[in-house]
Amino acid sequence: MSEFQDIERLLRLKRYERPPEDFYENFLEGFKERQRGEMLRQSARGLLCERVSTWFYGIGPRHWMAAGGAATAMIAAGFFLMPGSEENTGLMQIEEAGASLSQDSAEADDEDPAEKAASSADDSAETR
Amino acid sequence: MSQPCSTDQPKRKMRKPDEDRELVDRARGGDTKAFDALVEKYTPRLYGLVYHMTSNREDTHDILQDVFAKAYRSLKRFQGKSSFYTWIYSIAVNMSLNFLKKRGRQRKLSLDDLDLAIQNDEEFIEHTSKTDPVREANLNELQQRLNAAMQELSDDHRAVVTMYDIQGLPHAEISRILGISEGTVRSRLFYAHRQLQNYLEEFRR
Repeated sequence: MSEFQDIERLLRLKRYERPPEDFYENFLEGFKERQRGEMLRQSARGLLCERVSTWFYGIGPRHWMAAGGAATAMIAAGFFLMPGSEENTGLMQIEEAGASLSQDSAEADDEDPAEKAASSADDSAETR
Repeated sequence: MSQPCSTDQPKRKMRKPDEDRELVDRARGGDTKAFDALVEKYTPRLYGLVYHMTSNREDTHDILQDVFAKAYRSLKRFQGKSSFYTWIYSIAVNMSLNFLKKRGRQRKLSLDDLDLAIQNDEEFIEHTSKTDPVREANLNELQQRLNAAMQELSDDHRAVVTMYDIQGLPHAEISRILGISEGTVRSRLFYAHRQLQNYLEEFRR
């Protein structure tokens, strides 16, 4: 005999709790509606997938090759033009070097003619 | 520690395995009527399970709809290692436990009416004739006390009590459904019964 026999008996009385009479009928109808709705949604998705796959299937091998080549070219172009790539850094370094050279020459051009003469005189004195 | 849940329960019996196999196979083949037949067959049993775990009629309806929808979607993954009943029962238990976790401690009881057949129940007659507090209490009060006591249990304990005491499943089947050992089932039942005993003390003989 279980020491909880009375509790078990009381709990078994809960079996007598019942939903309203039409619950089960309405439940099945509700489930069918939901199921149909899900199937419709699924079939719309299936239709889209089918159309996309048909479209891909309709493309001939030549088109595929052309598309593949174009895609490769695009990726390659993107790789070379991507900022921060090594090639770009090299170009930028050359551009920067060129810019600094022209700046130096500009600065040299800007020197005072009197100072120029003085410095050339100094040079000739030293050589003597 | 004693294990109070007796194993000599003549009313508890295992279900015949695979009696629904044909319906399952037809449903897998796209026969929606076959699945409807399964829904019709198992709604009352699963209703009892979910309702006694949630104590809310509306939540029970929604969870059951989700359970059958999920079962239908997963039907192709059902390998037939267990019976369809055990499989769908496991889905219902897990979905109910997940729902209760999300719901947290916010309890909203929405109780079903008691079947008048309870008045012919031997156990009920026995209780009402021998126990003074019960004699005074009406059926709805008893129902509310039972449900309130059930709600005090943890979700895991309530699940085990629902399956064992209310639905009459044997320990072995509960252990299969929950994926725990029979010892754990018995242990949970013991603690749940002890807790319920405290809440329902006045109804005991």
